[in-house]
Amino acid sequence: MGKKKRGHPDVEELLARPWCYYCERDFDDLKILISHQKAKHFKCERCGRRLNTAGGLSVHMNQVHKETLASVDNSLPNRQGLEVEIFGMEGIPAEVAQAHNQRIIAGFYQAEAERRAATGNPTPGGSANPAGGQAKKPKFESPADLKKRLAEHKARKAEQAAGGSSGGNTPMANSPMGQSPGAFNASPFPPPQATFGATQGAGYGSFSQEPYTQPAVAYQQSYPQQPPFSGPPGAQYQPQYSPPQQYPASQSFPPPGYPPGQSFPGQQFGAGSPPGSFNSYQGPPSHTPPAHGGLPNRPPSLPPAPGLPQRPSFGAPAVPPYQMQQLHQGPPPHQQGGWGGNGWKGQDQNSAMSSAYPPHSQGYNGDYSTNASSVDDLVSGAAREADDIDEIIRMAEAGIKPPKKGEASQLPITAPASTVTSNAPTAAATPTPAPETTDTTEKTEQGEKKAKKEKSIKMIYSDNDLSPEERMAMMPRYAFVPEGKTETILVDAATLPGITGTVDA
Amino acid sequence: MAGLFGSAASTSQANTLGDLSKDVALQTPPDDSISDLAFSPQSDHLAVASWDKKVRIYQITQNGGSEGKAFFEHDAPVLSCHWSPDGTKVVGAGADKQAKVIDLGANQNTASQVAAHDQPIRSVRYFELPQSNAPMIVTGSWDKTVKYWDLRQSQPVASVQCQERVYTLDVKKNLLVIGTADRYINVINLNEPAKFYKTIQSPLKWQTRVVSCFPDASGFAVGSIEGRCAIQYVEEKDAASNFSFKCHRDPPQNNMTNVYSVNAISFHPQHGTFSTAGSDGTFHFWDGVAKHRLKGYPTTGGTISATAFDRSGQIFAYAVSYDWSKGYATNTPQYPNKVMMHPVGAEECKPRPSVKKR
Repeated sequence: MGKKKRGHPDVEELLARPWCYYCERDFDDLKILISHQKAKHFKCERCGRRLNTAGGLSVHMNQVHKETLASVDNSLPNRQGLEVEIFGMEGIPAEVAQAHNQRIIAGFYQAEAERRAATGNPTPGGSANPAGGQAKKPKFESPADLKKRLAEHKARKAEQAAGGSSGGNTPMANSPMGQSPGAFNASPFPPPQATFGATQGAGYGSFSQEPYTQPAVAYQQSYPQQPPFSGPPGAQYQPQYSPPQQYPASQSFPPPGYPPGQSFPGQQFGAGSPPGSFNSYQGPPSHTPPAHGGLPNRPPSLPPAPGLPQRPSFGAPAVPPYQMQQLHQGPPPHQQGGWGGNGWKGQDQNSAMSSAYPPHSQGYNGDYSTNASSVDDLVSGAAREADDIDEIIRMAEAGIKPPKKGEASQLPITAPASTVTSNAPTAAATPTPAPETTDTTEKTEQGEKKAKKEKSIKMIYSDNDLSPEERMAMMPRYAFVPEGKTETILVDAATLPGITGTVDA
Repeated sequence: MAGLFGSAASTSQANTLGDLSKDVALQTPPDDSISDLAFSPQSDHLAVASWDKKVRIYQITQNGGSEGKAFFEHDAPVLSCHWSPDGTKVVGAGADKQAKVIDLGANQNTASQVAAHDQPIRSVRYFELPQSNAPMIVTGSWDKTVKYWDLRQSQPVASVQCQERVYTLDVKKNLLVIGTADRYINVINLNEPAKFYKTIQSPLKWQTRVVSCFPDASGFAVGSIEGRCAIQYVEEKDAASNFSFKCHRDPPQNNMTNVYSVNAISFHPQHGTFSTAGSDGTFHFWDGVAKHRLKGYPTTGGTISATAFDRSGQIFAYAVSYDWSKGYATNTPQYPNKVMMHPVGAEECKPRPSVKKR
């Protein structure tokens, strides 16, 4: 498939890059990652000793300095714990890894979409009208868009998975829904999603900021116009999931479905607002508000699901659950091809969800009790809603931006870092305690000239046979003429060739 | 100017470019390019050898002020000058193939010749052997010989044949190091002056421009025309600590890097750190043990042809004058020709332990 763009790494490549659990930076190479970890996270502040793991550093601090280590240095606030034993890429919890991957995917597709929007090129589907493309969206999403939505959905799910872990996840796609809304930004209900996201955020206190923020961002952007979610539950569903065929929606579910279990403790079934949020999740399978059309940001989001009743539906009896189930299970098979790298965890989640479904099939109403434990959470979550939602949205937006930018900017950092590390000293025992990164010529220290394979050195004084003083002495103005004899200092070249020369390797 | 040794960016503390604003210019400097600078080991005097055939002696005050005190003339450009260890005499040597000594203690006004060679004398140094209390002079010349003179006879006490023209030499305690053309470096133990203790090929692949001994005489520094310096230890057992580094090079532009020659290396008398100065017009202080640069300075406006630390290490003098590295075209009347006194800050030239990486 000729999707590879010059200069732009593929999703798979991006996903394959090793990254540091503690600070979310990614690197070209595992070795570089490990030396980064040793230098930044596993280094003893007191004596400068570098250990191999956080646990090792903790032991060292105890034994040698008689101090206790509280957290890992230079790490993100949610990754500071000493309990996880990370070495290179080993030891990263699965949810965190998934969340990370989803972020990458979401970011990749978003960037792609932005590029496309920026250049105004026709969409891959062939539509020459970018504006029209959006109009088209509701009906059918091109594979790229689907993928993006999927990615977003996955990201959201991963966040939920990573963040949440509390029980009481309503199998119902609450969690997945939660994620998807974000992913689906494009849907006509930006606000609902936003709020949803907000509520989610509120609910997900357990989420690490990052995973959460990403999806949130996803949604903020896409839903500029969506009506605030929290209000009318009804409106909400649809936007979020509007999978064109509802596939996308379902797909994203499965992954989020799982984690959500934990992360979504109550939210979903809370009273007023929770339903809203709930709606958002559930929405996917079927909710596509009819209103969709004309959403501005189509590409990233799924088209509104066809004819979904409003979320509020707790009243919506069995329909949603079934649909959801179907959605979940159905689409995944389809999408898999498209996804490739992401390990179809969705499948697994799907099944979990489906198992969850049956209880709900009777209708939500009846099933709240099953999530009784989460009701409290829902309630509390709901309480936060309205006013907090805005704040959360803002936070999310703010939170999201920095990590994204940070990640992007970290990539270039690895480049200089690797050039520095590759500055191996030459055999001539050239000391390079602090190699000068600006002096690229250092790289090839062996021997003077060799250094300049690609770069040439121009020696200001390159005459190897005559010293500058000899040259000067040969000049008439300085020539020593004892007793009338013209003095030539050296029996050497009579002419004075140019002193400067260019030396090439 | 890029330094390999730990550039400003990588070494710690205050690695900003040094401050040249407090440098004081020498009053009534020579009229033509300066070839050598030497501070008296006993008093606050500076001798300046120049291509205008004169050696001038100035008194330097602590804040860099100067006053011309004496001078003596040669018949041709003077290439080198040095003080006697007791600070009473100054020797100058140059293209007139002679070395002349002026005895300031005796208030002489003229210098008397003490040495002669077949070709211009490129380098002259006073030294004193521990047994005898009479100072002697060693001269190195483009006639490929190094000769020792006591000041009383007209014949050299001893003479050593070198492989090639002598370009530079330096003496500290018992160590005499000679750098010649074709990159030979000869090491002589002054207790046995007539033979080479050791001869090596310079570790730098280009013409040797300057050699300078450590204050403790355990090794020496070599500078070449290719923007590179090497620190070499005399004894084999220390040879593992030998290293070389690049310096005095412009940051690469369009794949071209300008590489300037290192014209002078001077060691701080107390700290053992050293300075390098080059044709790019900059000078830098380095810590040879910790292997990093201590301080760098912006370009001074012209090529630096000679440098010297005063006996206390508080004043660093450098001569900005054209060394003809760029041919005749660059020698314009506006080219600076001055000697500047730079007050050495407390931390500027002090050794700094390097930050160890494990």
